[in-house]
Formats: sequence, structure tokens, C-alpha cells
Amino acid sequence: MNVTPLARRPLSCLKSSLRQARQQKIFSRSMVTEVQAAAAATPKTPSQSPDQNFYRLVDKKTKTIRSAFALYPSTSAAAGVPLTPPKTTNPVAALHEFQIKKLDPTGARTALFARTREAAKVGDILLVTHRRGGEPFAGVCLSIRRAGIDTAVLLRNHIGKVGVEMWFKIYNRNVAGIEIVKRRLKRARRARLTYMRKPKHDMGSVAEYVSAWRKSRRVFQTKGAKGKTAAAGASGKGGKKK
Amino acid sequence: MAPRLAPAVGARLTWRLPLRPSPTSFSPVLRTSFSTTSPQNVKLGWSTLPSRAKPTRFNQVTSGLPAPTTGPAAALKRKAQSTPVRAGVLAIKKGMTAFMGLTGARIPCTVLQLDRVQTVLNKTRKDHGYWAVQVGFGERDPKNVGAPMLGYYEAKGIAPKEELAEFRVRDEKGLLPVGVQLMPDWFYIGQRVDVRSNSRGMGFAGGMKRHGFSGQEASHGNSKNHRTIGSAGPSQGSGSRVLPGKKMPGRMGNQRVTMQNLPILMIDNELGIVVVKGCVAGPKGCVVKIQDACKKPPPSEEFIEKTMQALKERFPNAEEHLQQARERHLELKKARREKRIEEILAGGWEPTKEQAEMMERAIAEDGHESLGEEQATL
Amino acid sequence: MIQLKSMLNCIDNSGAAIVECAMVIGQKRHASIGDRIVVVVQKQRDAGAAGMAAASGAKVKRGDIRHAVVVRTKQKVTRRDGSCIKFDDNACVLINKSGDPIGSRINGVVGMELRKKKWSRILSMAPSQA
Repeated sequence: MNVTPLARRPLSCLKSSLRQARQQKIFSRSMVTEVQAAAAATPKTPSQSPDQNFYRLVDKKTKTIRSAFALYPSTSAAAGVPLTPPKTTNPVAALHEFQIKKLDPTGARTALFARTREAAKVGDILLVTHRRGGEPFAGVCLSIRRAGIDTAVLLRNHIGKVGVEMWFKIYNRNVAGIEIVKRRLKRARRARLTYMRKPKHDMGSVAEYVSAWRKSRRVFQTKGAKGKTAAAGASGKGGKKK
Repeated sequence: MAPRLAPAVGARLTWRLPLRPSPTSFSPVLRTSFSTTSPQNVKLGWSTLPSRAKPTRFNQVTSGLPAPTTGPAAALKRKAQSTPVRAGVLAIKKGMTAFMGLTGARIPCTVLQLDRVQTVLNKTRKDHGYWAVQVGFGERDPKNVGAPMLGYYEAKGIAPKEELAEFRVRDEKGLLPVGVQLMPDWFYIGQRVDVRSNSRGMGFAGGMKRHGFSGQEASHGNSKNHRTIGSAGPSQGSGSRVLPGKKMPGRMGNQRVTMQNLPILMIDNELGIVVVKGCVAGPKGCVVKIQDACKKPPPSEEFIEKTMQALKERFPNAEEHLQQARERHLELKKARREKRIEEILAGGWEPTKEQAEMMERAIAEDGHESLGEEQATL
Repeated sequence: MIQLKSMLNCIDNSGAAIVECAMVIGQKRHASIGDRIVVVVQKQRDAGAAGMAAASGAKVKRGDIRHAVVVRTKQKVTRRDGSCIKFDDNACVLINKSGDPIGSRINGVVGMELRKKKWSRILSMAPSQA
């Protein structure tokens, strides 16, 4: 009955006929590992110290151990004194955090340029006060470059018919204060408003907005209330000027 | 070979011209019997060379001559001045940032992180021909380490390292105990260091990008040769050949770049960082070598003493550990050679996760295969 | 980045309107704010009343070769504190060989870098600095 297929492919036929045996082999093999794992729990301490394990080179075909090498994991006590890996793999972020805490203890500037509804956005008119001399610089915010301690804003204004653009590092000590003079009515639909350099979209001088804002501040101050304008950092300088 | 003078001639010479003042008065007869070769470079009875030692037959030809200026010993001596006193560390470039100074200045800086930097080997003049410390960085999964290196780390009693690098030091005083961890406080704030790394690879680049050639004209009959290099050299009369070292298109970047004398702005053992002023070649994540600047005076004796003391305190039994590891390594090596390694493992052997998975997968495949066979036969 | 053939606005009342850079003095690189250059006057300022200006105000004529100081550049200039400044045009102020401005007035903003380069005369004449 079985003669023809056997003659045609003898090996496969043998295999199928020995299927039972194979399965038994598999079964026993899986059992072995399990049993050993369970058994290993108790006599796990050989002559060597217990925490030093081995790396085994296993032969892929025969599944036997070809060789083995002792391992000394660096973080365990096996290697004499454990080594101390660094606390974080992103030290730049940690460094930024550390420095921002030092340079902006109140967190006002971080909040001013955070990704929140209240924060300053591109298209707003900002006023930056220098610590050492010079006029405060006001301008439309064209872009905000968020990079930890290196976070910077680009302001554009016209001074005497000439367009002037300035980048300011917001955490720098030379920047005494940053204030929002006027918010953009609608949220800008671009992250960088570089098109505002074109004559068609150029805003021109923002001096009138700044003077209007100054007037409104004066009103608030005479009332005795602290300026309700969104002030950030050491905004005292703007107040003193009045 | 220069013809030797007959002993008799030599005797006559020495009789007439006392070539060098000898402190001990020899009897001329004795002298002639020993010095059988004519003194080198002596034509008219005197020499600029320093006076040699007593001319006995046991003296070498070079005896009394100044030390040779070539050869390994001379090379080491010559380079001693520019070789740092201490070993350096390996680190990873983590990126650039800036410090905002008190006066408002912005100081750009590079953050380098040390991760389990460990000394692995001391190279000595006697065994290797020079003084150096091999230092390892990070940790590598043993599955990605070859057997020879696994044995190497086994003998050192340390975990396999991600990177290994050598730091030449001036003399044996720069050698370190094996297996100790070097932390960022190996350096101090304000110290000048040299930082070595491979620059970013640009791939195959043309002459304009690679060497700053000016390229060729856009017009005036130029055809499809706007960015090519021009002539590769003069023609007949100058050899009609391309001179060696001609700048040509080729692989650009990925070369060792040393930034010299970078001041250290900050060190932090917890974060494992060394922050240096300015930039360092290479992309983020590249491995850099930091070592004391060779063009600046080395750190003070007290500081070196302090760092060595700290190493000793942190790793009091490094020597013992190394010794134990060595002994154990020899034992295991022998066992491996005699195929007894399974015995040593016996009792404690359980498959690691990967191995268990691998075996299971193999079994599953086996089963699948047999099923397929079965269907085929049916 | 002012170099040979760069056209600059002249913002003083010396009579020049547009000048062309002929040389950067004292350095091989391009000129930036506060650097001294040699310029050729290309266009005179026709200050409103035609003929009047040419007769009275103008101290320089078209084709004159003069020294000048760059006061504004389109190229960003980075400062020590990391801030940058960039103007919409390139501009200069004419000076004589000894370094004094030829004009008596400057109209328009000038860069603060002039202070570092010791051009305080020009700075004090300027209506605003940035």
C-alpha cells in the first residue's frame, strides 16, 4: 500500500513515519530545560562566588555549550567595587535645567516662552530691556527658537525707516526684562513669520504700539495696581522709567 | 672592511702619538697588544670625539660614544616632552550648549559624557615598548563580543567594554591600577585638555569641497566641467606624471581631529559629564578621547596625588581583584582546553532568556517543518 | 559682508547717496560694522532743491574716492552675549584720512559695534543706535 510513495520519496516518508518519535524528542527536550531551571534554584551556588555568572557560547546546531566565559557585571559587586554609571543618558537636558534654575529662579521667562495659551507667540510685539545701557528694543516676534538655555527670540522693527532685526537670548543676564506690548489678534499660522520681511507684509515701526502700551501702564500705576500686563523677569526697569 | 694595521704599525703609532691622555700610565707595550684597530676618524693625531674608555678588547666599538639619536629609546626620550604625564578618559559627545556668564557673556561649550570609564591594561616599556594605559568605555552586551575578547575581559575581571583606547603616558608614574573607574573629577575646572575625535564623514567629495579648489568657469566655452579639478600637473619636461600627494577628489572627513588646549568649564560626577569650551569634531554620539593638553604644563603634583588617592579610596582592592580574576581565568582556560567547562557550569546552568527563546524558536520550526512534511506525504 | 564692488548707502550729509566699496582696509576678509573701507561715490544726494545742494551742501562729488566706516550691514553681527543684529541695508559714513566724519550729521540708526571699534564721534552724531 505504501510502496509507491516510499519509492518516490523515501526520506520524507521516513520522517513522517517517525513523527511520533520526533515529537517525543521535542517534548523531552522542553522538559529538560524546565526541570533544570527548577532544579537550578537550589544548587545554584557552585564553587565560585555566586554573583559571577557565565556567558555561554552555544552551538546552534547541537544546542550544546561550546564554551563559557566568566562575566563580571560592572554594576554588581562582582567586579570588586561596582562602577557608577551616569545618572542620565541625556546630560544636556539636565545641564539646561540646572542653568535655567539659576538664571531664571522665578520661572517667569520659561513661562513666557512655554507652549501655553498665555505665553508669548510669534506675531506678538515684545519689548526687551537691556541691562547695560541702550534703548529698550521693541519689535514683532518673528520666531522663537526653543533650545533650553539657548532659547532665543527674533524681533523685527523699523528704526528711522530702516528695518532692524535682533536675536535675543532670553536667559542671558544682559536681558533685564521681556514684556508683551501687544498680542497678535489671531494666532499666526506659521511658526516663523519670515514673510514679514517682505514689503507687502512688513509691519513697519512698532513705536506707536509701544507708546500706547506705556500710557496704559501709567494709568494702571496711578491706580496703585501693579501692571496687569504680561510682564516677565525683572520688569521693574520699565516701571522706573515713568 | 677597512684593512687593519699590523700590530707592529699600531705599536709605532701609539709610540709616536699619544692619542689621548690616559690617566693610568700604561706601559706602551701592553697597550699595543690590546688595541689592534686604528682609532676611528683620526687622521692627524686628534679627535673631536669624547675620550673613550680604557681601550680593552672587551669594550664595544660604541663605548664612550654619545647615546644614539635614533632607535626606540631615543624616540621615547624625544617624545617625552610632548607626552602627557597622566592617562586620559574616553567619553561620548552629547551635544553643544552654552553657559551664560555673570557679565552677560555667552560661552559656547560641548558636553562630553563619561560612562563607566575603566582602566583595562597598563602597557610598559619592557613588555610593549612604550608606556601607555588602555582605557575602556561603557558596556557591551557579551553576545556581541567574540570569544578571544571575552577571555581577555575575564582575565581582567571586568565586564566587556563598548570601546577601548590607549593613552600614551610619559613614564611608569602615569600607569594606573587596573579595573578602577575614572570619573570626571580626573580633571579640574579650568584645566586645559586636548580632545580627539573623528570628524563627521562627508563621503566622496570633489576637489572644490574637499580642498577648496576654485572650480572652473561657468561659460567661455566650458562644457560640463564646472566643478571638476583642472590640471593634475605639468606635462612633458616635468616628468609627465602626477606628483605624489596631489590633492584630488576622494573621501572627506571621518579623520582624527584634535582640538588643543580646550579649557574645562564644568565637571559633574553624578551626571558623568565634562564640559569643555568651544567645539569638538564629530557628530553627536561619537567617541572622544580627553587627555591633559600636551602643549601646557601638566597638572600640579598635588592634584595628581589627590586623584590617585581618590582612586585608591574608591577601589581599595583593585589589585587583589585583578589577581583573583587572573587566577580564575587560568583555571577556566585550562578547563576550556580540556573540555571540562560544562562540569564547572554544572548545577548552575540555566539558559539565559535569549538562549531559551532561541531554543523554543528552533523547536517551533522543527514542529512546523514536520507538519509540512506530513502534509506533503499525505 | 562688504567687499569689493559692494554698494552701500551713505547716511551722512556729506552729499554722497550711494557709494561703492573699492577696498577693505587693514584686513583680508570682508568688512563688517565698524570696519574702515575705501569707497567711490556713485550717486550724489539731490537734497530736494535741484542745483542748490550741489552748490552749497555737497562736500563730495560723484567719482570721488573717500574713506568710510561701515555702520550697518545686512549680514548678522553676533555680540558677546549671544544676541545678533541685522539691518535691512548696508550703510556707511564717509570720513577723511584722519578718521573724522566729513558730514556733520547722520540720519539713521547705526550699530553698537562702533563703540567697540572706537568710532565714538560717529556714535555721538547718530540719532539712534541699535
